[in-house]
Amino acid sequence: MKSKIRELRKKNKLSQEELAQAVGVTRQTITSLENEKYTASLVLAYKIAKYFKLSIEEVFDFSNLKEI
Amino acid sequence: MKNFREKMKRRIVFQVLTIIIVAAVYFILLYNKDKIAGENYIVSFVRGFQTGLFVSLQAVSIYYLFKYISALKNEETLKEIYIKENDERKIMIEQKAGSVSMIISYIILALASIIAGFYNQIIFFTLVGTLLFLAFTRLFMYLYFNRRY
Repeated sequence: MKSKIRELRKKNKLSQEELAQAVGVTRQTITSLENEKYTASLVLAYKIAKYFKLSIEEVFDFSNLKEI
Repeated sequence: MKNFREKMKRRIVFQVLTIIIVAAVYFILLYNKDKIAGENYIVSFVRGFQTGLFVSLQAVSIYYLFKYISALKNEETLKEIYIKENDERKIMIEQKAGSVSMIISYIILALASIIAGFYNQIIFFTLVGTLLFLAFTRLFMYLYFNRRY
């Protein structure tokens, strides 16, 4: 899933490790999220969005979500 | 983090118990070493295997024991362990790896039991027994988690 994590992280001058520590995951998880290899759970998406003081939709791109 | 600290304390007790139990089992085996039947080289292999397993289990238990003790003394280490253990991506990877490796094990066991049936009945029944045990364990676990969630 596409996200603005990398963009927001760079804007806030944060390293992957710092963001990972702040939201309680490993640095590899942040890397995978930024590289669109892994989709965050609702809880993690909420934590990341809350950290940047944004809504989940502002951080994660749901436009490519498949309809049932 | 307070709950995790309590969990660490319980794990330390568990590791100490494991070390004691594994040592006790090994000394019982050592005491009964003459009861291992078979050719000399097989007896030697079995003893070597038992000793190797004992040493590995003890080494792993001692490693984790010290890791947990040091984590209780250092908040940073405790947080690091907490993050590593609760990282959702790692949990997903472990679940997927476990699930896929079980499927591979079923296929290999099924094929091996078919082949063994032509050559040796003991191996055939051992493999079929293992396959059934794994299949039923999976079924019960599936039913359990289906009820729980």
